[in-house]
Amino acid sequence: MGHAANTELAVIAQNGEIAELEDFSSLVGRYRPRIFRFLLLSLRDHDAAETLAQECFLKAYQARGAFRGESKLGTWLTQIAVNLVRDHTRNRRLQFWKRTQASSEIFDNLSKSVADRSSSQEAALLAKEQLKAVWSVAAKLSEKQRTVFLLRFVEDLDLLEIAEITGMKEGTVKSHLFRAVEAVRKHLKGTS
Amino acid sequence: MSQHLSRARISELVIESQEDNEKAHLGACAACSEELAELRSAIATFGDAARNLSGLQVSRELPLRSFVEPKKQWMSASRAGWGLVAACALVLLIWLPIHRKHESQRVALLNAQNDEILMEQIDTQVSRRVPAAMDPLANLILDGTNSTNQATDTQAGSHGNGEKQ
Repeated sequence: MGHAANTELAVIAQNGEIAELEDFSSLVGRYRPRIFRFLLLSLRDHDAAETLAQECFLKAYQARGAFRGESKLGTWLTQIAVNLVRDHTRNRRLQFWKRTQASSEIFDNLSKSVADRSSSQEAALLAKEQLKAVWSVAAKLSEKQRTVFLLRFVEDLDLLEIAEITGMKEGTVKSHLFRAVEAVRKHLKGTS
Repeated sequence: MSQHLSRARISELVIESQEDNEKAHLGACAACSEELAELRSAIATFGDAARNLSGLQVSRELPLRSFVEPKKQWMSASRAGWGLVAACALVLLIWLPIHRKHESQRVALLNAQNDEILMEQIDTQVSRRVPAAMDPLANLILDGTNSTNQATDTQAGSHGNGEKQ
């Protein structure tokens, strides 16, 4: 009974995911903040993030017929976004100056949001320091490490889901994540 | 107190759950628990700020322009276009027979008017004593005849007067 019920639930969920794909406009509205956030933090460039977000949904729209509902829609869309980031980073390595400028704007916004939500001035200062440390470490991570780090700690995805999105084995995901966290720990230790 | 956790293990504990003995150590060791808490806090601050920032920026900076919209617009424009074509075709279907009828009536009227004019011209031609080209000659003859008549009349008049005298 349990197994049958689970299978039935899985089929219902699968059909639900496919049905959600039918209303593509509302799908874009629902998932775009998440996809845009991932792209913005990966590329640190507003224009590029916006362009790739559009491209991500365009690709999804074109390939919607091939979606069988085996994975969640969010996972599928993030998978497309990760591939776009990979291609983009390969092609645009020389545009670092532009990223640096855009990056400082994004960081200013991040620290403003941290300051706004802090209970005291001391707490705000500490949070800003922490943020600065993680932000600068994230910039130095490899593309794979950064992707895994963002998916785990910003998107709150579990290792299996990250493995599905990136096409890596769970052990590899864990290894990349460990290196990223180690880099943050070392940086914090160095600054404190 | 057990041995301190390795630095690498502290990083791992951010990713995976703790063993029972590690939990016990962290409960007792301020140094290890503080380091782990600091690391977790820094990463969580980053995650929270990122989620908060993106939520704001996506809604503020990105206008809701879906690439699906142009297709829909194209579809609706296409539908409107087809509607317009259908309406035009309908108007043509209704208007064309009416127009043809009016046109044939107009042509018939015009033909009738032309016939009348032609008949008038024929009548004029027929009623002429000489063809139009010979009008000057006819006028000359007519003038000559008139003057002869006048002379005859004058003579006759003088004779008549004489007779009376």
